Order: sequence, then C-alpha cells, then structure tokens
Amino acid sequence: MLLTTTLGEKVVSKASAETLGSVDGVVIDAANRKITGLRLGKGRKAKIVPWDTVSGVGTAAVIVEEDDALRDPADDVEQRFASGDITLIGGRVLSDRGNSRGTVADVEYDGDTGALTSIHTSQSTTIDADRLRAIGAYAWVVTAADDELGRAL
Amino acid sequence: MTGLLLRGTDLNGLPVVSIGDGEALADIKDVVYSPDRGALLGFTLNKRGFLSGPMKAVLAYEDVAAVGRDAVMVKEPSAVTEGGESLAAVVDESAGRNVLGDDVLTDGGRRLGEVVDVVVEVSSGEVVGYELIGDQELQAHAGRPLLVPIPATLAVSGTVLMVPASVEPFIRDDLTGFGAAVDEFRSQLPEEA
Repeated sequence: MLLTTTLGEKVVSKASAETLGSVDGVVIDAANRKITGLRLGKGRKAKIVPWDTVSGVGTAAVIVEEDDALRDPADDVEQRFASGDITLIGGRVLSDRGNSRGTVADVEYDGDTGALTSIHTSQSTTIDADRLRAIGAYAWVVTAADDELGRAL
Repeated sequence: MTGLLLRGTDLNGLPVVSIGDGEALADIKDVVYSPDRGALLGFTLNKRGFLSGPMKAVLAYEDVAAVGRDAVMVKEPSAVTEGGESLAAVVDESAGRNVLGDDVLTDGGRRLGEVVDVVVEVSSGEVVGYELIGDQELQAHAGRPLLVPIPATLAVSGTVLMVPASVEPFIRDDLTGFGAAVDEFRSQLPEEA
C-alpha cells in the first residue's frame, strides 16, 4: 500500500457505515518502522485512530470497527505527529552521514500490519525501511549508503 | 586522503541534526580550528529560525557523529551542550588568533599568499590544506584561489604560517585531486623525529 493513496481517504465505521472523517496523516513509530495510527484533523482538533482498531485499508476507504475508534493523541510520538510539525510527503531525507537524499515522495507499507516496507524519494531512489533511523521536524534520518562519503559512526 | 574534503566555510550555516530524533538543534556559526594541532576542535553555534543569534552552547568535534555536505550529524540532542571547559577556553583563545588573513611563507622565504579558507578532511577533522589568495606570480588563474597542502604539524606564529618550500609543486586550484596532492606532498617530507 502507498501512503499517498491512504492520505485523504475516507475513514468509515464498519458498525454504522458512517464516515468519521478523512486521513490527514499517519503516526509512525520510526524505531519499529511501523505505522501505529492514522491522524484525522490537525493541531488541537487532531484525533488518532490506533492501527489495531483499523480492520482494513483499501484503495477507496479505511474501514474501522466501531464509531468510537477515534481518540485524542496520547503518547509523545502521537503528540508530535498530531502537532503537524512533521512533514510526511515532501519531508526532507538526510543520511546519518549528513548528506541530503532528497525528499519523501511516497512510503510503501503493509496494509495489514502497518509495517513500513520502503521510502521512495524525490531522487527516484527507493530506501529500504530498515534503514530508517528517526523522523523529526527537520528530517527523516536514514542509514547512509555504504559507499557514501563522510564520517562513519 | 580518501575521505570527503570540504572547505571550512562550506560548513558555516549547516544545520546540526540529531540522528536519534531527526530534529535540527542549531546552525553552525563558525569552525574552531587549532593551527597547532592541525585539526578542528569543534563549532560555535547559532540558534535556528526566528530566534537566530549566537548560542552559548558549542559542539565539540569529538561529539560529532558525521559531517556531510548538507548537515552536521550528532547522535543525540545532548551533544549540543554548554561545552566542555576546554573547548570554551579554546574558543576564547582562538578568537584572537583567526588564521584567515594570515600570511603563508615557505621555509625558503617565499610568500605564497593569504589564507582565505581551510580544507578539512571531515572524517578525522584534520585540516589538510589552506586556501590562499596567492601572490600574483603564483596565481595562475585570476580570481581562483590556490589550495596548498600542509604538513601534519607546522610552525605558527601570530600572523604567519610556515610551510616547507617543497610544497610548491603540490599546489592545486581544485578540491578534486587535492587529497592525492596532500598524500604525495606528505609522503616526500622527511620523517619527523
């Protein structure tokens, strides 16, 4: 599944068939390379749909089990992603050796588990998700390519 | 010199980014260089964004995880600190001893020019050369500064940097190939006792 497809999709309750909103962003646990929730709305009005309440992600809609799947952002990671400080598509990609790798063009992930597969960059390169080290307000930090110049850790 | 060579002034203004959380902590204000040791000691910093202005905190080179073309990377935000007393002392000391503008003389008594930048091998922080506005007869291409390899150690006074006269064939005008010139120059120097 591609993140650009999921962003903007309707979030529909399986129980009532009501539309609860649309996907404005996702919460990513960078350490575990996994989408842990969907974000609806922005800033103070932001609500989170935890990934474990999502029953299906399709090409037309995201289906959740119940109408009450939405909740306020809870932990630090959710707060950071809810605040809108972190840029997903278009976010700067930086290697851990301090070289630019372009910006995030798309993110490929497993629609069942939320596990990230790869990051597509504006430089038309694909970076394996297991190279992701952190996502912050300034940049997505990825492990440098082996032949990249710069000081190794 | 297999690593990445950069000019010292190329680093000015680069963001300091934490690998641990992807946040930018500061911008590089200036490089702190010890001519005696031939190496970068660290960086002075500016605040980022609207609050920009000098920070008290400094970044020691030993706390730097990587220096690239686009950012200076640290492992964790804690790397940007009030600085060890040693670095703070060197920053004060070096403020009165800027190598930029110093004259470079050979031990044959020739003046090569005036320092406008330093060339750093970023993996070690070692300064391997100076960029000069050369004296007229040396300056083959008008307006293009000269790159002069320096030995691992050299004599430094307040305003004069002394290099061996044998450096002259190794002067270059481009960073490409400069690493090789540094290696060749250093390999033909007599062994130091």
